[in-house]
Amino acid sequence: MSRRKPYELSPGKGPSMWRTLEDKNTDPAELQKMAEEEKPGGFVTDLLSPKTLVSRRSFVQGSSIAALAAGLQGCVRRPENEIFPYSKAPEHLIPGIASHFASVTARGRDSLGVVLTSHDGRPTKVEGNPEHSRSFGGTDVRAQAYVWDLYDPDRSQSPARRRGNALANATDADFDDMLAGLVSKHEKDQGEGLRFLAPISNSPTFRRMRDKVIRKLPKARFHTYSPIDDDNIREGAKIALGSPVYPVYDFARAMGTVSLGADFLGSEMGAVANGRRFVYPRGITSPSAAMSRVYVVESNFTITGGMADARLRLPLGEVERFTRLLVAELSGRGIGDLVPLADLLGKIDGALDIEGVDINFLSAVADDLVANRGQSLVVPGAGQSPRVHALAHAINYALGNANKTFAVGPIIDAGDEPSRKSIAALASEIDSVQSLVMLGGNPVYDAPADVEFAKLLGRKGLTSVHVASHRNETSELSSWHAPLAHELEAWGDQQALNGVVAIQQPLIAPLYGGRNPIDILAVFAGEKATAHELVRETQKQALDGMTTSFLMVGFSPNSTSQDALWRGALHSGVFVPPQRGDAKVLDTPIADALVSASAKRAPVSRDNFEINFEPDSALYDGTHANNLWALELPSPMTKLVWDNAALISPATAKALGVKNTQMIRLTKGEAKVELPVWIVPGHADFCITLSLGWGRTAAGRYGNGKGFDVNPLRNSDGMDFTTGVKVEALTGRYNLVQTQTHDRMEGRPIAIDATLDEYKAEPDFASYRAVDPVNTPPLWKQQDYSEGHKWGMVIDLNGCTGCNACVVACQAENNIPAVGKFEVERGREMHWLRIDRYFVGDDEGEPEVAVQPVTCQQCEEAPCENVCPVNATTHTPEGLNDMAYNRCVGTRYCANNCPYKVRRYNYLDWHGHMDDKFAWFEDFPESRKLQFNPNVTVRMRGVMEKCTYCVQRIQEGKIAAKRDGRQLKDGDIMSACQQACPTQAIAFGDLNDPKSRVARWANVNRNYKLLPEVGTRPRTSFLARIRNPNPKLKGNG
Amino acid sequence: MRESWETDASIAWVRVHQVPDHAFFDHSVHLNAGVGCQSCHGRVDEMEVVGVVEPIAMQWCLDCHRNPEEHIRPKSEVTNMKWEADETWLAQRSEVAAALNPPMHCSGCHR
Repeated sequence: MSRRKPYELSPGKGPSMWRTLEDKNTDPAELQKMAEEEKPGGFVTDLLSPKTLVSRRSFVQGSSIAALAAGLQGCVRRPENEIFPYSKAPEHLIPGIASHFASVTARGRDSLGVVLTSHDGRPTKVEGNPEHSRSFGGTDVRAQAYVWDLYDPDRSQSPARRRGNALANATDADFDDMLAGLVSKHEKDQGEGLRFLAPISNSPTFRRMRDKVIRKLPKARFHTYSPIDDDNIREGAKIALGSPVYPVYDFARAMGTVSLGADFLGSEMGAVANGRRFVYPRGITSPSAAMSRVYVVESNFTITGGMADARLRLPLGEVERFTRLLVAELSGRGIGDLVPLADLLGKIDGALDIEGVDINFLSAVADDLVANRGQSLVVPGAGQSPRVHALAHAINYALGNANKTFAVGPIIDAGDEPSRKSIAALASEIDSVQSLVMLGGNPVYDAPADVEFAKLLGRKGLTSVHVASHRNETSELSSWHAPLAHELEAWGDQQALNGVVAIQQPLIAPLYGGRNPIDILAVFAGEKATAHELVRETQKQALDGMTTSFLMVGFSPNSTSQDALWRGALHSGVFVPPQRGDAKVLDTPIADALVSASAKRAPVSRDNFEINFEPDSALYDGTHANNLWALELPSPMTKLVWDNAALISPATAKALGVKNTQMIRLTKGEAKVELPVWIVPGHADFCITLSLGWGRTAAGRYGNGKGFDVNPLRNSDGMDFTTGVKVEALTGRYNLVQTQTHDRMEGRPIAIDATLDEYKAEPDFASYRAVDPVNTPPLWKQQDYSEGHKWGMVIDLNGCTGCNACVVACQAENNIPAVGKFEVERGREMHWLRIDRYFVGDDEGEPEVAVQPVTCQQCEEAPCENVCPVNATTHTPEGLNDMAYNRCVGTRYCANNCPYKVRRYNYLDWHGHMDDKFAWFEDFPESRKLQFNPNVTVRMRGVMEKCTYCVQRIQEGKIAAKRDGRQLKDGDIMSACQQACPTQAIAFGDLNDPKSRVARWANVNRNYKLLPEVGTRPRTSFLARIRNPNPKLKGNG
Repeated sequence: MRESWETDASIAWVRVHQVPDHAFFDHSVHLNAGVGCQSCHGRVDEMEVVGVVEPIAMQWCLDCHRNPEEHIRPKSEVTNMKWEADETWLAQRSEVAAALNPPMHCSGCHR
């Protein structure tokens, strides 16, 4: 079975020898004493003395006898402990068996359906819900990481009230009394001076309660503010279509796609669903298959830009001009519906100025859009002006793409104020506000700088109430604070942009008495019902309103079936199916909008920088600023951890005379921000990308003081990007740390790619480009893997965007610690799965990007196994490269001998301490222990670890199949990375099952293995990436 | 027990069998393979005070995994404390054992 003779255990039925030494409850001194009393012949008592030469054999013998001695004492070897079962066990709850529940998590006004794994009442892992059409089973970084937020040790744990300059703990009763006082006060004055401020909500029940509060207290007013909003999308739709609807894209049908500053696979709403559909016309398995073409116009190098077949770097402010030019080009190519708009644009001074826009790129885009009429797509970014969104609607409708590559969803919350205007209105009317109730959010940190929110809260006579997950910057300045319930602790309902409604069901009672915003609104609305009942009532009303459509799918509207529907919704995670809105493009409002805006814009230059703000790929707007997984997640393009930076192009760095990591000062009006630069090849010149969410002062122990707060530069009129920024180089340097320091492949075939034409000419180019395997004779007898399971993995580089969802999924599944910035700098990061990012091409200004997830390749001829002195890493008959942690003595020979550098070593006790710039946290917070996956060992210091293909899932699947007496089929066992991947770029399964996806992919002609010349025979292989540039665009990048 | 039911207070059972944290044991697969309760836990029906009979150590586990034939019984008899192999079972057990394939590699139990 095993390729080598199994390790010979000493005969006889003795207890296993390491059990005792490992057990923390045993006092080593006592053990030593007992062993001494035994005094066996040749036993070395002073094991630790350097004077005593101890051979490994005698050491093992000695400790074995010590263990035996301890075993005779009974209670020492197995410390007595007690088991407390339920007195009356809840139904369907078997200790040790995980349960799964469908729920949903908010993405601004959109939502993402999830399925949660709960171990004995503790939610531990998040997966996508295949039945939810914003997930299709995929997830993103934030979904994978948000279970950590639940166990964040720095969550707010009790209400608090202002005493002098600081918050003092208060009781829940105090807070309830205060709330009741506010309600009775405002019941008398009809809500005069009562204001609410909440982030953009996607919850129908929240909206229903909000409207009910307004009906009861008509003088009260609701404000909406989220630092990352969808104002431009809504306004654009209002201009072009007359109503605030959202386009819902279907990239599976789009053969020609143009992104106008949209990171639709990364930061935009619906990125998971977009990614899921995006790969359909990309993951081709033969050169003759049709492949889509993707153009991206952007400033920063985003992951969507990395997937582009052709990319144009432009300042974000110039994308609008590009869009206008595109309208004119399309109209010139016979798209009749665009002729009136193009004519109008021709009359506006400067609207069609070609200066700085690559005409070849523009005409290639126009050619491909026209050639793919009805199956093309123009996607504007949320950061682009409403006019760009309106023009994009006009283009998409004119090209006949409506209801093919995109459809508009239903009208959602038509009365909701635009976020930016809403908070400005609150600021301007602050003098008339007596009570301000803030339901979540952190406006002191993230409101536009010109609003000066901190000053508003300091106004005399204002009672401010802030309900938030943490006692954050806003809580610190409020009169009252109460903990906010996590999404996993509260009932709710969430609507997606395509109309899908899903129920947010709690998996755990609030750990710290967190409050549900719905409950607080219910108090003001005079509702006695609980959030659970309110959500049910909302959905009952929704159902009554759409009886006919439900009748069509076979539901009857009587009350019994409503109960069944509700239960069905909780089970499947989807309550209302997707809906489609109806819309028509209105030319006149678009024309009015174009005419009223200035088409002229001063070009960016050394004295006129453009800065653009984007949500951080992991921290988002700062919501996850204390999340260890998020903080230590390498940014997809820069691979920076624990910090943000000012991203600039190489040419800009030269013009400024700055080196990488040098500090610069950005000045916009009065506001100044100092932060280090990071040079990103492919970034637009004289533009700076700044990510939000960093530089927090009240995030918690992990997030405080990490990175740089760029919000002071962000004003109401420049929330997405702004120009007129002055930059000066400072002399200091800042220590930025990244996980990958080398960006190029030095010509070696590692992340292999080719153009579609090259693929057609040479279908097996991937193996051709790989160096011929050296016929090294194998060290051991070759194993026959043709019987039974043969686990393997194939990663399609055509699908992988480098979004990092798999990295966090792996971390959550496998109890992988975060180690802190200082340790990452020493190369001690622990991620089992890393995503390598390479820049391809000779021009530093216009490179292409290749990303490649690398994890243990599960070599059949594993070099790590040959060098392990204790057989801690061995091969299974199914081809897995096992790692027995308890056997590992930490020589690290295996890691040294691994050509893929995928083994990770626990240099310190990461689960006991966090070494961050030598600030040691003595105790591992109890709450974080609740997150651990009980099916995976929590590794200790001195142990090597690595990817196991999620062996706990393999065993679980195999055991389930054995128990049920059935054969395993493809898809029964999914690795955590595979399950999380939004683009299904990872196939895992049995290579001996010819029908499995992994076996089919293993035979695709663009399959290749990493470093085949070493002769390791890896089980993981890759599908080489195909790029599909327009042949007219010579040598993109 | 009555008191526990009435007061909702758990009974504090003393743990007798404890597998170390780094070893993952699944009862269901063993029962389905035909390993009787008694094989590991001994004649609990005859114990006044329950104690450990078998070593519950890796080598002992592996002994059975390498040679399950002598340790399995018909699935219908797994809870039978007094079961003893009869002629019919002796005749067919090697065939049953051959289909079991218990894991003998590290990750079978250590994950």
